[in-house]
Amino acid sequence: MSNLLPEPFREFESLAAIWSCGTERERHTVRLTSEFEQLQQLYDAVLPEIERIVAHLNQFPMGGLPTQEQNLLNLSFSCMEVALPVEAHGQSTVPGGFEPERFMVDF
Amino acid sequence: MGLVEFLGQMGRDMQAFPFDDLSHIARYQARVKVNWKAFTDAFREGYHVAMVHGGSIPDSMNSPANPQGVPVSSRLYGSHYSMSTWANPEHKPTPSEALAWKMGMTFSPGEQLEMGGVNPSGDEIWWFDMNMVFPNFYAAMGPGWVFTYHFWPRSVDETDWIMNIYQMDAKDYGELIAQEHTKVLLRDLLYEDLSTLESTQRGMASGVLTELNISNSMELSVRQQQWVVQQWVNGDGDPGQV
Repeated sequence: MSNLLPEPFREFESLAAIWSCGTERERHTVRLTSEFEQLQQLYDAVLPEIERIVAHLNQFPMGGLPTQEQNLLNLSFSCMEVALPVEAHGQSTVPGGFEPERFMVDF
Repeated sequence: MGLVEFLGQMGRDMQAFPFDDLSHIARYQARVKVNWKAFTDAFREGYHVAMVHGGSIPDSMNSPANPQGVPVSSRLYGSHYSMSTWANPEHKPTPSEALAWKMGMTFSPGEQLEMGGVNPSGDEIWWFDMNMVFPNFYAAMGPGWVFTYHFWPRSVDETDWIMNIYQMDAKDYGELIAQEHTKVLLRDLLYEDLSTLESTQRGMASGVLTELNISNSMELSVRQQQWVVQQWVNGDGDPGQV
């Protein structure tokens, strides 16, 4: 099976299999339907490495990432998707919030 | 009447903003069970932040020095309204927020880019401006980002809501990841706002309260809306620029 991520980031392969989604709507859906522990795992693993990830991605022009690098960027977006749940909510959804099935994420 | 004339001084106060340098980064929509005027009332004051968003942004617009998040300035522009919010200078960013600010920018009090078209009263401690364009358009404008709401009434107790978010174009991938932080932070705050608004509507519809007190200072624009809507409904039209 081919690798999802570039060589220096293979430690995140199993996370990428879940979280490297190409749209905000997909990332949000995965977050809402995942156990909180899975959000915590992504946050703990990727957040401390974001600057190393960005240094790698910035070798490429904006809008011109190869597939593995695009997966790495999408994984970083998902890390931001789970940041507030981990740092503030303590759960995957917003406590006391609007019903997610009625909230449309267009992009 | 053209748009420029209709916006009047409010439009002139925004004119220098570098709208062309921003990217459209998100759009959200929902049908919310709340009257459209009650909906916009919620964005005509800042004190709800300390309560409704107390868990998610506990110290951005409020602190022991300003527990209710009293705004730093307000402007009445005839039918329109603008308010500048206070930013807590002691705000402590979360790890992801600090990272977003290191790589680019996010929606939270942080480094203030110098730019025109915002902070029209020149307040020293300033987070962003909440601009309400009569009757149904809202634009929050900060140092490098804008988010807007459209409110479309469906019935007396139902409104279609559309949110768009714009942020300074990302010049590298760090800035792009910071944009994602902006989106998620704002999105989760709106989950909190929309559920609160439906509770407000249910409370009003119960009829238990026959009157609501409106604060002179904290809800200036709630009073304004009551008056302006009556002006238009009674056929007196735009009260004009004040």
